[in-house]
Amino acid sequence: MTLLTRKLTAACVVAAACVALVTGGRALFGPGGRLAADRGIAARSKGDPKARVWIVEYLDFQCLACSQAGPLLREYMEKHPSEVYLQARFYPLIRTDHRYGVKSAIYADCAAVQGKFWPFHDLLFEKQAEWSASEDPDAVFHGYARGLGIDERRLSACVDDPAIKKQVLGEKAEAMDLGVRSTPTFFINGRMVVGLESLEDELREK
Amino acid sequence: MKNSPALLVRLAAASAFLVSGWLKLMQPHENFLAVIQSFEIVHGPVADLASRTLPWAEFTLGMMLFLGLWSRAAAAVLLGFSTLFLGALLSAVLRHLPIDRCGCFGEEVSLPLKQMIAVDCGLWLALAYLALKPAPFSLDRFLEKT
Repeated sequence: MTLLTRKLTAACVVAAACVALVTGGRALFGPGGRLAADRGIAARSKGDPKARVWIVEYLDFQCLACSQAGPLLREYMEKHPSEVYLQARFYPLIRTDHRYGVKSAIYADCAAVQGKFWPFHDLLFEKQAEWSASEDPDAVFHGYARGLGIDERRLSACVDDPAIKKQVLGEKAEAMDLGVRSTPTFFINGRMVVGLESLEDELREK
Repeated sequence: MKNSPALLVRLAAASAFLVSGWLKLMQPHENFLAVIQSFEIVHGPVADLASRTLPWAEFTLGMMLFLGLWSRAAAAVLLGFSTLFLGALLSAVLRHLPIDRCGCFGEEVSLPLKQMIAVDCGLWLALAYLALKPAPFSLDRFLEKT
């Protein structure tokens, strides 16, 4: 056997070992979950549940791209009103530059309890820069809630309820199991779509 | 003993690519596709192809470099990748793209762009050295002797 043949054979063995390692690694550490319909969060959904296009969006209210995805989805839903079902789920990023990610999700979930999720959602994205820079986001969120006619006493009780935080973080854990690592991540009819550019491409094809 | 620094440089550079490839391969490729798209250099099918193949290339070539198999060739190809990554990072900084984190090592190990440029410069120098020098304690040497 010449040196070249020996080296080529070794390269093939290494390549095969890499494939085996990655396949095994994916089975052990890769995404394992399956996206399931969650009728329990109907308050964070809009459109017909039997619609042809089923979109689940994992979002973080402090994410700039998420704020840009909102108008895109709204426009698409206006053009195809009976064809789309949209459900918002939380994936708050826990980083120094997203310090209110969890808090904003908790407030939004509490707004959902009072049937005001979508107006609150839109307002949070519209005023993202304002509350992100605030040192007292609770006061700012209460101000937004007041403007939307949300009962503040019920809102405060809801925000202080540890079950809501557990629900928000549980939703994030489920998303991580699906392989979600950044926002906005969408599942369109079960197919994973990450970021705005892919969302635009995907909506164009639908 | 005099070969130890060269060996350490090779193992460190190889490990960077092994980790980078591995972390991306453990996630759906759509996550890396979004990272590629955020640099606004390639789009559509080219970006999709890159998101599917680049992590495999990083992992396999990183493994070859680690073991010292075709080590100079592997280092040369990875040097090419490193040059491309550096170009993309510099271009993103110059164009003030709204990318706060690089995502070059997957989303788990994500550094700010300027820190990533410093890491990539170090990696580029290490790979240039490895592409020029024969690797000590390598499979190449072993196969040459047998």
